[in-house]
Amino acid sequence: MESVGTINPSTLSVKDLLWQIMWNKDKCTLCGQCTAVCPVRAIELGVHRKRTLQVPVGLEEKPSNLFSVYFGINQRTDVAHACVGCGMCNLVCPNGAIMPLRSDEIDKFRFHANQGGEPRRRGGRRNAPDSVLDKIKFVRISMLTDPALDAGRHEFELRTLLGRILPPEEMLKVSKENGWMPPIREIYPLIIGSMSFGALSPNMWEGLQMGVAYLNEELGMPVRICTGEGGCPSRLLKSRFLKYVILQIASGYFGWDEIIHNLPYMKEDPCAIEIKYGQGAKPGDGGLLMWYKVNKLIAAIRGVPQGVSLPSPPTHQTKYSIEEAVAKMIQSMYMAWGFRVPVYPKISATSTTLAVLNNLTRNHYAAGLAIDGEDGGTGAAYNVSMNHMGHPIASNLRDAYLNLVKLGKQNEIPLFAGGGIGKNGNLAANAAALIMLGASGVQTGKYIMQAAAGCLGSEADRCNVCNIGVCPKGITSQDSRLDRRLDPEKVAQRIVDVYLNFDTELKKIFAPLGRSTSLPIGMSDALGIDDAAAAERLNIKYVL
Amino acid sequence: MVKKGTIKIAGQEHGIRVESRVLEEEIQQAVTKGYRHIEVAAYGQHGIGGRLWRGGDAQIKVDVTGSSGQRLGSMGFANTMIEVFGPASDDVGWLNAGALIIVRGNATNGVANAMAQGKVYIDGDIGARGMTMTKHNPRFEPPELWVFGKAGDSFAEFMAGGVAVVCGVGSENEKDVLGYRPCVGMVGGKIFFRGSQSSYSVHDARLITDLPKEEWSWLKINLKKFLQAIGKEYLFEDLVEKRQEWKLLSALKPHEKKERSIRKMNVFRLDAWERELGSGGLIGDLVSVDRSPIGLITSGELRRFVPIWANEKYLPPCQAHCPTGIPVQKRWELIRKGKMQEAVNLALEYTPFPATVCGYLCPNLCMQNCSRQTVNLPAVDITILGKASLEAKEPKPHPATGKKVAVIGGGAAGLSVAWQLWMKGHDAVIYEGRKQLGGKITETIPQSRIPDEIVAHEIKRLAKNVHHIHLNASLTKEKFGKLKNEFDFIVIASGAAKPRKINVRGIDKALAALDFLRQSKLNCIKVGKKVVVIGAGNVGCDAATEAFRLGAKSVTLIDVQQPASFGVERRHAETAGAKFLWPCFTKAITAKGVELTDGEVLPADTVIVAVGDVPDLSFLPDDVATKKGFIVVNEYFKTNDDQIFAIGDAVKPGLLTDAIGAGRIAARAINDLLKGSHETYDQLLPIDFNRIKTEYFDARIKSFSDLVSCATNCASCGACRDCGMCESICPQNAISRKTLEGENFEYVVDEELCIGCGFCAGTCPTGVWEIVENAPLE
Amino acid sequence: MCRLFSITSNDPLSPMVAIRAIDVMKEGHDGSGVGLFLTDLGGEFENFKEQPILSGIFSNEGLKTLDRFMIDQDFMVKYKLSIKPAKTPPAGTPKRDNYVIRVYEYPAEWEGLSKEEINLRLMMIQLKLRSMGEQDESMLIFSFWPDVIMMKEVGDPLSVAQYLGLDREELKVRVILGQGRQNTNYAINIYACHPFFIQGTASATNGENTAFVPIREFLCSRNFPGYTGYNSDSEVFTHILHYMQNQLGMGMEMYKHIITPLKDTELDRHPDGMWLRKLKQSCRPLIIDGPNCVIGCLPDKSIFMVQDSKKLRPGVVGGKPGMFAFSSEMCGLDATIPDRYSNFDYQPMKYETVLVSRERQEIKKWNQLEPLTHPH
Repeated sequence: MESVGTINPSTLSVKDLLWQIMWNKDKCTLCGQCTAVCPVRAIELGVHRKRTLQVPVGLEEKPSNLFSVYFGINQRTDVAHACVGCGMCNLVCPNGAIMPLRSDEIDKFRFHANQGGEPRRRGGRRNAPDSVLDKIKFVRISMLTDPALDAGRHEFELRTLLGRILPPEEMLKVSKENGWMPPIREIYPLIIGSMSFGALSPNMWEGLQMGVAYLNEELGMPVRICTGEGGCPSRLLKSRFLKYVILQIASGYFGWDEIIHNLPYMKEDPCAIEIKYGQGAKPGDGGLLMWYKVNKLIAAIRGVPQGVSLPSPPTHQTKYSIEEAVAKMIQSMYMAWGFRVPVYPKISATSTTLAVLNNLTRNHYAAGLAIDGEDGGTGAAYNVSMNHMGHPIASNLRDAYLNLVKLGKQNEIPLFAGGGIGKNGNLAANAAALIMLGASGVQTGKYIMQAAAGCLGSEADRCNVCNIGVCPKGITSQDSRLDRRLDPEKVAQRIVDVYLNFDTELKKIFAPLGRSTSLPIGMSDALGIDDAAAAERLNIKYVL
Repeated sequence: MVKKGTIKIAGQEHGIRVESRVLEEEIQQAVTKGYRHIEVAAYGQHGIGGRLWRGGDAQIKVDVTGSSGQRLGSMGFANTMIEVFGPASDDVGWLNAGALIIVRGNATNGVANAMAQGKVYIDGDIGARGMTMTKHNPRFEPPELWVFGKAGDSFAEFMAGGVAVVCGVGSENEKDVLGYRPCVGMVGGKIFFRGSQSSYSVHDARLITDLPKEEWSWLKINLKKFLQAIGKEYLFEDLVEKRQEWKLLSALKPHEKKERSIRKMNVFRLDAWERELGSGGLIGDLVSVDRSPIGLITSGELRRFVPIWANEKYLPPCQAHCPTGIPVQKRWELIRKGKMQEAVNLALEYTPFPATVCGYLCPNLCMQNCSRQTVNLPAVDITILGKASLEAKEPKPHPATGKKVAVIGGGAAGLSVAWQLWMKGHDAVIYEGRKQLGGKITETIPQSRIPDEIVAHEIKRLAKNVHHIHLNASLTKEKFGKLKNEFDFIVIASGAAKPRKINVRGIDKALAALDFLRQSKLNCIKVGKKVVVIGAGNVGCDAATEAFRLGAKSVTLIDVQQPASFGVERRHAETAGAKFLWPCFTKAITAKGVELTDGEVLPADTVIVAVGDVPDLSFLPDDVATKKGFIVVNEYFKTNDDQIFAIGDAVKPGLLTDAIGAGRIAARAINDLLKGSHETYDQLLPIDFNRIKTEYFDARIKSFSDLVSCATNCASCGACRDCGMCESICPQNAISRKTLEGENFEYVVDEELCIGCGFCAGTCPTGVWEIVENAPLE
Repeated sequence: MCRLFSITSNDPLSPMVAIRAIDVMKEGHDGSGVGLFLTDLGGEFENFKEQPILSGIFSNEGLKTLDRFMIDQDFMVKYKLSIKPAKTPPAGTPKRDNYVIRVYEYPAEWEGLSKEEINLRLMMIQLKLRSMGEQDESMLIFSFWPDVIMMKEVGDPLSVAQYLGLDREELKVRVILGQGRQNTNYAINIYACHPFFIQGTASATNGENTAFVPIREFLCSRNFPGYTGYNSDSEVFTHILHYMQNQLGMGMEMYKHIITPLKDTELDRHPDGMWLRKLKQSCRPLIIDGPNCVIGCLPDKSIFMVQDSKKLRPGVVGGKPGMFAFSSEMCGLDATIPDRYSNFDYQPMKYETVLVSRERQEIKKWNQLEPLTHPH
């Protein structure tokens, strides 16, 4: 039998872990809440033997030993139970006696998180906190002929368009001939990016949808949310709220027969259809919803039996090339709603984005292009995909926009950028930068998770257990013991807070630049960056 | 200073526009000189008529002809009255601090911007952003702006005080007499207007359509003054004829500026969300379970983890590692409970040799694998209990079944199976080829390792119960065939007594180890001074030890590889002075000794070969499968002949305890077959030693002197020792002890209190509590 | 802020009328430049209504290049106004060799060409000359168009005008657009002086165009060679107007619907909201988002003023039958036409466009919220 002193290559000490539990014996009341709440059972009660040597002064008598036992919180160090740093222990501790701290050096854990030869997978974030978007400054402050606007006093129309926009000449011609005009949606430029029912917990999903409905109906903000690839509850499909929803179709086609069955009962058209070809978190890679997450509810919405794994291949299988895929898919999806609903593809940012885009310019149905940069995506992905695959959004989006400018189609195919917007909390600034680089709008998921539901993930590899169904905030869990921690009503309220705050911040950016009546798409003269190479690459000012 | 008459100042000289600075100087000079009536023929100059404080209290009248430029009367003083005989440019009355400014025509943007005192009368329309940022300083009367016509867009933006009156004359048919979006950011003051206004900033101002009496009377009094000033007094009656034409916009006070009265989210959820979707929201039709919010710390079915009192659900490591399968821990437990005799007796249910083997000959795998060992605590000493078992009382056998089983061989394996079959009520008949029972124990194991009387006692105890024993019973194929007919089953336990030969020159000069040991035990053999033992396994070690006993001066054990010997045997040999050499490859055995392949000669008077033994299976029917000289069996020690079992060294060389264990297993299998039952035995998994909390034990104890201290220090792996630690540690007080029938008890969890913290598992010394994930809800 | 002034009069006026109006509004602009657009010419040019007039500034070398080029193109000078300024220019004004206004005879081969083709060719010649002179600044071309004269110079408007002797009988015109420039560039580029001109359409603006870059990118990508230049962010106002009229075939009433479209909520209530919404969407990159007062002159010699939709730059229009003026400030108008009935002066607001057509009888004004008069 192995003794405690026996080690194997994956035997780790607390010091070897990325997250280390600091526990204070004096403050601990042994209430058990930390171990009860820990999502990965990284901590447990431990028994400790305490030895005190009692040495009589003067050594007149023999020294003696006094043994006693005490209890404390132990951190487990085996790979399966490594602390993820979520800090829930600290959250529940009545005395602040416990907290995870990040290792002061590169952890050894990372070399062992591949037990059984299975590479590490996780949800959440690329572990790179830097962001070009954060470095972009808005340098063109109106100080001269045009005094800066007062964000509070002027009227702002922060709206964007989603849909194929005909060039003026053609619009007039088609209008005169009473011809078919592509549907166009006037929407708020910050879209809640695709996060599927299944990837998100029911309460999170409902909270997001409720918040979006509230923003539309109570506050008049035409905010839109994308369902992600996981179908859509029938009740939503039949409701008036459907018009706030962008339905996504992806290579798994989950839930689409349910959507089709609901077609006759829809009283509103959805805002748009997003065809997913790729996502920022794992570009070019497919997904898999593990069988244990496919509970009764998910199964019903996705139209599958309970307890089977649901693969989404990297590609749409019956399409032989992206060009054909886009053309066929767009046309089919238009047909579903009688050509009244805009359809656009979403791709991972890639150095071949321009080829896709050029193709779309020649497809008169293509209602836009969503590009998801390397920082995008919230779902489960292999570590290596999340950390190393993909193209940064800023230059990709910029290239795409300038390519459209060259073709004179900059207003015809709106570009929507995603991936890392607000990753460090600067949602409005990042969004504004992308808009001025040429995006018609932005999509974000992670910021929403963080701000609306208190997601604990960070670029320092914190938490990131979205993929295994133990989200301690109940955001990505399908276990009602966890997801009921999240009150949809409060998520909805936070969505409202986030949007109102975003709106104000966006105005605080646009107003000093003198913009209020139209979204400053492509207003690149307002941008500067203190990185000469980035400035040249993005074709914006270099400032120091 | 003498009061003077009128002075005329021109805005153009020789057709050239006079700079505003120059015009200002001229006006200021005129005032200084005492002129109280100044006529300015303006030509676009800025700021005319302001700042005339040099006139002191004296009233100064400035008449402006020509074209006034911007900021007419800016920073005007209360002594000043400015009258423009025509329209005026932007910012009339900017920062006015008291002047009365009359414009007999339209004025453009920014009229009265930031005005704090005084009055501005416009006999016409005004442009955008009139009356913006105006103030009311409580030390002075509020400022007033009077507009005869209408106002332009963004009127009264950020207005902070004063009164504006827009008469709307000529704009009676317009939709918005105050222009587009008035009152944005308005925080003070009021606006009277006549006519219609479709929109204003409701966030900042309140519209009063029915003028209160005092407001109305103020308006009438001051309207008359205004009309007088612009020479249109004749319109007074017309303008006040319809009181309902006049309305009032007044700034909301801070406490009145409520946040937009929007629905609370819970109201929205109820009145909009669920009204549209149905009760239960998005998925109300798909789930029936409660989905209301819960906290982080939950109990009952909402706990994520559930503790289970898994008492005796896993094998303790000692028992799990005992090939014989003796419940070692159970025996200590009985001692802890004061049932010493029961503990001693219990062994006989598992082995006929508790003293011989557990007490002396066994390497004690139970101790080697004792949980305490894992943290460098000494294992509880089973040999004490083993030795004590000499006096154990044999169990009562089951009623006789009349079934017969022949046991070929009376060594450890054969005696074990016969003992077990006897206990189960079957008739076991032992056929032993030699003249005594005990096999290796009695034949080849040196006396140094076990006193003869112990063995004799235990063999006697066995023989007393297992009656049918045939000694010196040689066996042939024919005889074996007969046995097959006579017996229900045959168990071959004939051991491996045939020395394995090595093919080297002079092998005949060597002694086989087992032969040597057998003879040495009978003290009927002598050895030379120098002895070489080929093969340094445990048998070789026994041989070496015996060689020393018989007088050898040096004993060298050689092996082709690192010797596999271990334990007592090795220790005894080393203590006696044996040398171990390896790797050594024997080339020949000569008169001089052992010649190795490398040419070296190890001098030897006596050479003993201990490279193992193989069974002598000459009696075995040809159709019973063997492999490399050993009988092939399955996990229950059954051969390919369903009637024949084989155990012990005839199957695979092993320890005594392996042989005894094999006997137990074979006996159970035969019993099952005879009784047609399928009992399951010892199917439990061994407990994970990490669950055992050894911290409760004294780390400095070196060894145990008696059974009680052994029993006390036994960690009781996987078996509740009823210490009550879980009850005490549970932060929720959810665990309690429940007494069952007899001496039985269990610990139970109150689900409604338990939060699944796992503290019970964390503290349990014996690892009984385990934490498992709660069952999925839906 | 630049000061704008335009006037339209039945009786030809001296350009000095506009210059003096700008002078009245002095201290609003800094006198860093002046530009004049003259059309519906009177005086000597009355005789050459159909012939293209080239306006520009030329070095002596540049003039030779011009002559060679125009001869190669088979253009013959029919009439020219030689402006010989005094030896010493006013402070801030560079010394130039030649201020050129020349009327050309069309080449014989142009005869029978369509109006569009002629218009295109005239524009291309102007662009060609401009590019030829760009490098060494030997040629600065402002316009090449029938019945249009443009003059631009750096310096105080009144001083420059006097220096150039604009108060002359030959130069009397019926429509004048002028701007007194408040320069916002350190280096003064004369091409950045208002008004701007393209194929008969001219406009001048004050204020800053914050949406300049996307608008420029949009216009540049229209594949129309005339949409170039853009030394001033205000040049796009002229080009948007041109694009709207010439490429989209829409009239002046749509101008504000393109540069300052109604808000979505307003479109919901507008009788033509559906169509206007489509227009707004298609023309989204043309939305100006600055505070601007725009005055301009259309090919039919109407002059107009529109305001931005948020800051409402000052601007007033007034006059009397036969003569109307548009002015940044009341005093400019008041000093120019003192004998008008000033109660009829009009200040356009957020939604309004004001226009005085060539008949010069009234101020036409309309509101964006009103139904469109032309069916679409």
